[in-house]
Order: sequence, then C-alpha cells, then structure tokens
Amino acid sequence: MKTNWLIILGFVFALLVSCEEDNELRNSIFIYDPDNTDLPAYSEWGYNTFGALYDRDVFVSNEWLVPAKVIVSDTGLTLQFSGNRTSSSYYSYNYSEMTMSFNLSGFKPEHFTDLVVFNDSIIDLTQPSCKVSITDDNYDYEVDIIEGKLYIKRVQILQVDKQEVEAIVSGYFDLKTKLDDSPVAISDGRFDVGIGRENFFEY
Amino acid sequence: MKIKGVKLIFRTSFVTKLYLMKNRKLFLILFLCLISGLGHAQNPRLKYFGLEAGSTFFGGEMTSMDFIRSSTSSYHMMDYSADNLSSFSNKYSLGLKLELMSLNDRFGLLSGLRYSRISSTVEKSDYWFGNSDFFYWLYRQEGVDTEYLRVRGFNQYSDYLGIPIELRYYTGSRPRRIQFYLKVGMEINFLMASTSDVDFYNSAMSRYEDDLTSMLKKPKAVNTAIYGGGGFKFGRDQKPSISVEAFPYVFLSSKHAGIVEPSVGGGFQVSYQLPIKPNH
Repeated sequence: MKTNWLIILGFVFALLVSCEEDNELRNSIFIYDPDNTDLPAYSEWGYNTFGALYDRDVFVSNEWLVPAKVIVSDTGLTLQFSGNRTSSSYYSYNYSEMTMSFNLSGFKPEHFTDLVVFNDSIIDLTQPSCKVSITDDNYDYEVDIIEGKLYIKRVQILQVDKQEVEAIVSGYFDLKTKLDDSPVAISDGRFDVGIGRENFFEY
Repeated sequence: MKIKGVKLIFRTSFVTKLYLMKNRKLFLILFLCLISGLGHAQNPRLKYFGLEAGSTFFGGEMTSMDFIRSSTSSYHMMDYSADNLSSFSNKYSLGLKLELMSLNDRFGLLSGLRYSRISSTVEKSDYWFGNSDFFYWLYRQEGVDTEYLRVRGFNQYSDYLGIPIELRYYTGSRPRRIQFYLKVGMEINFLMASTSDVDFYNSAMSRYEDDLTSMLKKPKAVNTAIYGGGGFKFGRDQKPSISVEAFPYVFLSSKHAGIVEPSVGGGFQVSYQLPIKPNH
C-alpha cells in the first residue's frame, strides 16, 4: 500500500517537474523598450512578446493569451498575434482584447521548422496574396491595407539541451489601413515569439 | 634593535612603493601614527609571528553576460534589469604575518603573505514566481540554428597571493590579558589561478562545460582593497596570543572581478601569534 502511494507521489512530482520545464519557454518575458516604454524591446530570444502602436493606443501581448499562433490551412499560412489594446489618459482607461492576423497564401509549411524559409524576408502587405484581419473586442474588422510591411528579420530553430523545441520568429511590422472606412496606423510593431508544437496548427 | 626595526619599516614601504602613489594619504597617516609611537620609550620593541585565517562576504553585482536569457519579465521587476539571478562572493584566506610593535606598545605594524580564494556564484533564485530553478544559456548561434543549454548556476574560484599591510592601535598598554585594538589595513592581491564550473540542469550536458566556462569573464591579474575594524587580543604578556577581529572590506579596484563584481563586504579574522624573543 505504501509502495502505491510512493509511486503516485513520484508520478505527481514528475508531472509537476515536466510542466515546469514546458512552461519555461512558453512564458512571456516582457522587457520594456527604454525608448518606447509602452512596448516590449525588440529581441530575438523567443520572449513571446509583441507590441505596436495602434494610432495612440497600444496593442501588446499579455500574460494570459497565447501571444502568437501559426495556422496552416487551405488558404495558406496565418501568423496570428493576440493581446490587448489599451488606451489610457488622465481621465479614462480603455481595454479590449485584440487579435491581428497576417494571412500569407502560397505558404504551407508542414512543421514549425519549415518557418526558416521566412528568415530575413520582407513581405509587402499590399500584395493580393497577403491579407490582414483584426478582431477587436470580439468584432471582426474588414481591413484594407493602404501600405505596410511585415519584416521577418530572423527565424531560428531552437534546440535546448540538444532537443529541437521551437522556432523563434522575430521581426517588425508597420501598416496603414482603413477600418470601417476610418484610417488607422499600426506602427512600431515588433515581435519575438516561439512557435512550437503547441502553437503550430495545421488543418 | 632600533635600527633593525626601522629597516623593516622601510622594506615594507618599498614593497608597496607603487601603491603609495594612489594611496599616499592613507600611508602618511599610518606612517605618522607609527612614528609617534616609535619615539616614546626605550623599552625593547616586541615582535610577533602569526598565522591567520579569515573570511569575508561581499555584496556585488553580476557582470554583464549577454549569453544568458532573461527569465523574469520587467512586468514583475518593475525595471529594465529583467533578470532574476542572484550573485554573491566570499573570500577565505590564510596567511603568515609579522607584527612589529611600537616602543610604547600602542601601535603594531603587520605585514606578510596572504593566500586567499574568492568564490563567486551566480544562480537562479526566482522561486518567488513559481518558475523553474534553471536558466537558459546561449551556447551556439550559427545561421538559423540556435542552441540553449539549461543551467542552474555557475561558480568561479580565483586564487590570489597577497601582501597585506596593517596598522593596529591598542587602546590599552601592556601587560593585559585582553586588549582591544582598532586597525586599518590594505592589501594588494596577485591572481595565481582561476577556475570555473557550471551546474547543468541536464547532467548529460556537462560535456560542454569547458565551452561554457571559456565564455566567462576572467578576473584581472591584480586587485587592491582597504579594510578597517576592531578586535580583541587574548593572551598573557609576551606569550602566545589569539586575536579575533571583524572588519568592513572595500575593494579599491574596479572591474577586477570575473563573473561577480564585489564591492563592499564584511569579514572576520582569527590569528594566532607567537612572540619573537629579542636577542640580547
């Protein structure tokens, strides 16, 4: 009987330890940019953060939403950033959950390691093969890109203790668009996210 | 006897000749104190040979290491440092010293050789947020391939041979079984050897230890420090004695250390002294 309890305890301990290991790289390490203190500093460590100015609001990753997902479907590859849009002033504070997706048709990677094809590539978002969509406070917006680019500066295939664990995708984005006929600028965008088995989807 | 004593003082000063340039004032004070004691009585001057052992603990900061991945957000830290690694240093020393008393027995000038080992440690300390007890060390970056190794912490051990110069002021004149004294001192330390080791999360990765330790900053060849404090000397007059003392310790050299930059510390020292009988 004692042996059974010991086995169960050992199993629970092993489970806790393994969770701890898995979570470590999935955590967001938000290090503020000293020059633009609302946004994360640009990095290439797989800190799982992103941020951009949304006109005068801030669109940034947070600690409770998965900051980035890669979805591969018939329509191509979608790089999706999820976080919150906040605006604050002396007299008000607004907050909403927001998702911005870059859909790139023609790319169908089978594995997260295949993302290396994007290493050091600039994607013109005005091309017909690119689509950008925004969901803000559960409302889907039609997005007409006036100008914009997605610069995937670096893709790294990360090994930890000689085990392949994820692709670190880092870069910048900037765009001007019309949301419901209203012009909006999303500027100074930067991201540093890890794409692994848990946030790479293919269907 | 007097001439011999003066010769010893001059030899000691010669050893630290280069030092006088930077710390002229301190040496002047030490020297004047000693001279004031030398000029008083005509009793034979006492000398002691001693063994010492001590330990010093330092506060300090980890030196900049751009191969360590941060593991705490500045959400939590509320600043830009964004790391949760703790670093600390301590020093253990053993030495041989000669003490030359002034003629009025109020001042003692001590010098000799001191071996010391500074042990510095950097380790993950962030148990507060329920995170793991390791951090990621960027081991290799080639093209699109990047490798991290998980590390719990790492240590650096630096061995020095030093020359201390100290001045003790005894508040009461002998003979007394317990004497309280104040002291000031300084030392110059020369690096003899430095080694490092890494505590890996996955022990199978220990084969990369040499590669990782080669990335660590090495300590400089020389460091200098000053210290001062007080202590008690226990023992009968002109018999073996034991001294116990405590002191604050301040490094004068900047950026001399390897993985941890110690600044201010405090320590204690125990020494055992034997009187050297004068030749009559």
